[in-house]
Amino acid sequence: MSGQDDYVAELPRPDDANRDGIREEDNDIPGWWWWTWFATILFSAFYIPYYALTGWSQERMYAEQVEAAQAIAASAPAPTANPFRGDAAAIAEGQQVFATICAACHKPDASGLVGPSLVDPYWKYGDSDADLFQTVAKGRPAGMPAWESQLGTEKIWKALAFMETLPKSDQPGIGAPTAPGAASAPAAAPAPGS
Amino acid sequence: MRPIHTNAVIFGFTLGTVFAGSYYGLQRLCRVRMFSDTLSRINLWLWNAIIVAAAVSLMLGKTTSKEYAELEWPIDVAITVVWVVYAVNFFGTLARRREKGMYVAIWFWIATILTIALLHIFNSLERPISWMKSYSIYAGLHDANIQWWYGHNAVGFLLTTPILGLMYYFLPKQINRPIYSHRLSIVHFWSLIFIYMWAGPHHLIYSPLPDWAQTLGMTFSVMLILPSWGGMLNGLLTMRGAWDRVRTDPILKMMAVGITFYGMSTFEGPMMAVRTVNSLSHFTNWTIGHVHSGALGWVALVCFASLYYMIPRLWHTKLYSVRLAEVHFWTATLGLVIYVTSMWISGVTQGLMWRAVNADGSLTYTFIETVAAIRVYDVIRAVGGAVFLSGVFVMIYNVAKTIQQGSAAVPAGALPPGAVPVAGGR
Repeated sequence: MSGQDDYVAELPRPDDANRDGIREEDNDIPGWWWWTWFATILFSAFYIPYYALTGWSQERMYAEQVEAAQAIAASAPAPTANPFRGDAAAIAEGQQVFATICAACHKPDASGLVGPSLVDPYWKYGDSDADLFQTVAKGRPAGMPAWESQLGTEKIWKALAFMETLPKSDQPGIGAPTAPGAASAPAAAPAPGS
Repeated sequence: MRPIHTNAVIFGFTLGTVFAGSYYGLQRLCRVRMFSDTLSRINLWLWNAIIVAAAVSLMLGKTTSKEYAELEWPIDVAITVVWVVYAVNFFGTLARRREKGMYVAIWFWIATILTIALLHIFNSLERPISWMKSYSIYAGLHDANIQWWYGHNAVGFLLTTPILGLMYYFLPKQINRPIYSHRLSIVHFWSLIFIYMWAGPHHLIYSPLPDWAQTLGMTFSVMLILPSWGGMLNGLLTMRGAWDRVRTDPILKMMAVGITFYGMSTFEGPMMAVRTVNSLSHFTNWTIGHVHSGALGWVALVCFASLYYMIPRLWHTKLYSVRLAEVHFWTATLGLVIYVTSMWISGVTQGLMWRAVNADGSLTYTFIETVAAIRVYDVIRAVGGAVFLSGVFVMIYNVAKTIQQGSAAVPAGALPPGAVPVAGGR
């Protein structure tokens, strides 16, 4: 190694370089390395046209999954009477759901906060099991979200079963009609839900 | 907090070590001092100023909100300046080298310099509207695609290629054995840098990105496995026949575990890029585990090993305590394993709970239930991280002691004139 510029003269063979004392052998690349690499390339070469040409797309996957979910939902009609009424274990579970979901807007004692009271004698959207289920599952215009996709049928029924066990209040709570005849609340309501 | 964490790890710790390691290795591989000491100093001080500016500005909430490129435009400009300084210094040194060939470590550093320049400039194109606020020139989907072209290749060319450079330099130096295969290094270098560039869209699977682009990202990720493994093979096979030394030398142990984790995470990554797997793994802690097995396992361990090699030699002394380095190795490995396994379990749990449906088609779990279910793994993860971090403190102490005992002989930080212990004359 003499001048500064002789490095352009030729590229060194790997075994005649000094490189700070680092030597390099020139062993063969393992055969399995080549073959596995070719296999991944081959996989890609098939995967790309397969994906592109068979119509497999994320839109189709989405559509199929929605369709499947809707088919399940349609084949399992919601019961018209609460199947968990009086079932202690189910009510305990319903209490959990109520505490984590409903209490945020309806207050832990259900006397109403953002959402209306659930223990006063007034019901904005009907008090039959089917109506109540509809309210929770599909939501209502004034701000009640639809919970069906998150809770599922069972948990909704359980939460409703728990709600029935809450002590009732005679006082019109938040959300009660201010003038007689407003909304659908009956003037003299029966004990709601039962 | 998260941008501060990622910026500190990637640009503070990793790139700082890469600057040091490449300056150290380049001079010795070229048998010539750096092109310009002034440029070296500018690189050092301006870069550290950028890291401080990054920490301060992020804490003040100044961010472009582009992942791994959060820093606002004045800092982006400063980064560009540092990068040009580094490049001029690097290529200037190369041009004046007294060695015929360029060793493979140098190729990997060159790939880093060129690619990061490209990535940084094009991802950070933005229109300033005040001195600390700017808007990216890309919008919507283009922004996302450019962002992940950048983000994924930042992983490739900041956390992979320069670290491979460190491995290719410091491993044979420490183990004193020849690199296993020159031709493997050529093949895996070119295949790696070619294929890496295309894999970015795998971050956007099941997104508005067109299906064909997602497919491209996925398949190039799968084709990337073996090129990545080329580096692992060359590293591990270089150690063959010297495993007795690997057992006793903490630097070599760190290299061995680091390279193994490199192989593991470069297999795991392409698997997660496969559509079908991605639908389970995306957005879960699995991704967090993957990134940390790469960053803690591969990047950090090889960086630690490089630092343990360089620092005693720079201060003309011996490592203060090999035992403490040994302790560091074990804490790092243990912390790593705890961390990564807890994130795997946590991620798969999350993925399965999110997709579980009841017989009536409704979701089985509410989101908060999935959070409650993985809480225990988050605690385990914190323990693993703490164990790993404790090893870093051990290293800091060890390094400080090493410098202290060495600084009497040579002024701190100064390379001896000529910089290189020249072996074969000039």
